[in-house]
Amino acid sequence: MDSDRLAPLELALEEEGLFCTRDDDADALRIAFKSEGDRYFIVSYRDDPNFVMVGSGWSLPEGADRERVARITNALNARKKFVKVALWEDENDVLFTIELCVGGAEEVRPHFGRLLDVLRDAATEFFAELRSA
Amino acid sequence: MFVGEELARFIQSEGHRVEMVADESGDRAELIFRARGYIFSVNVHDENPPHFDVATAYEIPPWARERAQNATALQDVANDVGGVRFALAANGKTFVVTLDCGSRPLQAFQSDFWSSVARVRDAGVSALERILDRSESRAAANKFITSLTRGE
Repeated sequence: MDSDRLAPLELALEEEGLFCTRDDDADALRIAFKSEGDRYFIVSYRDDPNFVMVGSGWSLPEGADRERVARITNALNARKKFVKVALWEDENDVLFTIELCVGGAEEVRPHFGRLLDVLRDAATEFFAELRSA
Repeated sequence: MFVGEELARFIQSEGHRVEMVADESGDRAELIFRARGYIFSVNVHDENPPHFDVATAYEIPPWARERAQNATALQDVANDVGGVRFALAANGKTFVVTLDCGSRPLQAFQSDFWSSVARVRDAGVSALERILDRSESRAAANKFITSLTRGE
């Protein structure tokens, strides 16, 4: 198994001018990075070399109406390209992920900026909708 | 510590690589970093309080490099957006958009740093769209006029 198959995405991050750290273990390859102060991650599983996930997780504001949160989540899932939105950890967090089936991470590299934009936009829209009356 | 160095650390702590160029006197510095595919520069003048501005440059496609018309488009966008200034550069091949963030404590500048960066980016995108839109409109009009002249 190629233990460095996320290397092209490390290069993509470098091209974007971002720092990153690796945190690989027996099960998964992981990259963590920040952009504009927000935290993101990339995950690939050793037993599924074609799977690559890019994501970010956010805490929900305390007291957020769960039904409303679920409605917003569903609406984003229906409308946004690429991104999957899910309530997570006892529904206290919201997770934005892009899950891809690729021959290699090199395929993702030229589109990495766009994927980051999609993640940012999804989170921005989610919280804007949550804040709106 | 020079305020430029503190700001560089802040930008790095936000996840971005930064290059800093300080002048010999040490009271001015330019910090260069990338965000969302654009290269930004922050000019820091170490006064009390320090003065900041944020800038980025956009390339104008070769077919749309008409200086007079683009200068007008940039002025129009500057009037619409407010707070930013535009300048054509490199013989009209690029334009620079700059947001003067004024003199203020570093922490105050940092607290809305990314929204300042977004304002610069959005103003630049608007200006480029305006330039391209005008150029495309003119190209379409020219085709129409030419075809009329030919009596087609």
